[in-house]
Amino acid sequence: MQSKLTPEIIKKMSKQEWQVLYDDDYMRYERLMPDFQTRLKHIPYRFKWFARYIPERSRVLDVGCGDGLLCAYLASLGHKCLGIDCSQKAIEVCRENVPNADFIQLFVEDMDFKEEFDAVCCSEVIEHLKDPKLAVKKMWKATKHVLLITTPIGYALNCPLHLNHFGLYEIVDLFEGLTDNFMICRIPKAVEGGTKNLFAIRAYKR
Amino acid sequence: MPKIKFLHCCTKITDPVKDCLEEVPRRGGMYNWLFLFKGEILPYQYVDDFEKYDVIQVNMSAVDMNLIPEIRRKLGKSSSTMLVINNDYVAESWAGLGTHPLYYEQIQRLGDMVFGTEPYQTSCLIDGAFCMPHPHYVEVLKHVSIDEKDKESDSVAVMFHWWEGKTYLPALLIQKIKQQKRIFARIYGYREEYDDMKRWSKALWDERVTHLRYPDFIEHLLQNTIFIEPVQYHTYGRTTVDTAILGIPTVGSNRVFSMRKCFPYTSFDPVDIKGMTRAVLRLLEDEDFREKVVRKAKEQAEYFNYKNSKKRFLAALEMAQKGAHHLKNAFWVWDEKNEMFVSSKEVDLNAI
Repeated sequence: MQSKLTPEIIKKMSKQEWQVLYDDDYMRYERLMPDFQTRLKHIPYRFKWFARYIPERSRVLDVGCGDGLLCAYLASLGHKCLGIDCSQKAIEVCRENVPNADFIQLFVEDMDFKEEFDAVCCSEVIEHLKDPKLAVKKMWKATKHVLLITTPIGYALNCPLHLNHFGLYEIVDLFEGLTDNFMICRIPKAVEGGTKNLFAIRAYKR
Repeated sequence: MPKIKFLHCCTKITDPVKDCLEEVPRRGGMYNWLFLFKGEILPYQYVDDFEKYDVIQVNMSAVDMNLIPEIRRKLGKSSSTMLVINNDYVAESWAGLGTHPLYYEQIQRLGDMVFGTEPYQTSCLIDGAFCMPHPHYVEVLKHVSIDEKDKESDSVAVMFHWWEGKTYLPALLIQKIKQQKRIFARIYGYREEYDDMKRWSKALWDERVTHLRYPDFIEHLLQNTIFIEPVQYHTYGRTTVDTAILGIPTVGSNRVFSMRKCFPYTSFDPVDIKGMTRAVLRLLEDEDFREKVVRKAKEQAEYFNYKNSKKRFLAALEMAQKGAHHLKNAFWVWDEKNEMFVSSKEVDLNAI
């Protein structure tokens, strides 16, 4: 079914259809990946990059938490995490896999947190969204200190569910009117020293 | 601000120019006027109607400067289209163009507005020329960084200028520093055929980096702890604007306009090896000084951003329309405080 999907079709989907789409996508991902305990032993580089910029013992929001691996890793470092995802199935699995973090099913555009988190993390999510600028605005509002985002560079890691392909100028545009205090670098997705196929963005409030 | 129909007219759009126009982030320099005014670039033969543009810019390169009399002829003397002539060649290199000095002046007189990018270089242009550096895309470049783990400690980089070819002074400086501190020395843009020290270069530099595309160069540059630019020519200095925007502390020549502007605490006469050695060592060892230098540089780099560049360009156009060539033995320089051009007779060129 997914091979017939185009960004135009996805953009027209209702929230319910969107949730079904990501439930299916999440279950497909679960079938392909090794079990969660094995995943925990091989933390990808991008998650280590997130951890580097989160102050000690922070309250962290993980937007688009997927399988909960980032929350599990950050919780193991002493942070208190809340993961949100549009997929109810993903959230149910997260609750089983990561008992020391909280998870709720929530669409990013429905978020209404006001500086409730020390750090907000968003790993490879904004490329999937209909309105990434609104999402960044909501995430910026939710953080007290730092917003950390990773997203594929251009068409790297392309998948049918990517609605956006960001270049440097588009990333800068995302923050227009929000803040000038952000930095963009390139990092590898999975393994240190691998191809630098992700933009990694750090935006500081104070 | 008024919308301007802007054309950059050239003889040919070569492959390096195409690269330059497409790279992300784009490098500072002349083509940024094109982006700033959302204009066009066209070879002369493809321009159907010169009159439809408000501004036609031509670079006084050895090739393109020959278009100037042709464009003037097509526009006539009373056209509302402004013919803007840019000369950003370092004045010390003009002899290389093989043009008679009087012809060089005659060409400039065909323009409605003439500008150079650096005060002492503009001083070599006709009376009433404007001193106006090209824009840098500071608005984007200031957000570019590299992963912390890729940063090096105690690495010092130098830029090789092939048209100057002089590496004796930078090499001497590096040796002075190496006598007192273990550093990694790197030279960018290296072309052995132009190096007056090529017999020694392998031994003098820990790494000789040849050609890099600008976006890769920027990331490579960010690895370095300190940048050194002891260039002996007078130029506005693209790389020192880059290092200022990127926050790389830089020690260099006070003949470079952007060095004086962005790095006032670390600008020296380019042969003041001892002064520069002291500055490099202090930057390596004194964190507070390093922060002070970087803070000032980032603040001053905004001078070159699109917003400020546009303001200067429009002000210069307006003055040129009213007739700016009445100055005798002087040119126009930008007074930042009052946001207007003033005669170079009224200012200390080393202080702007």
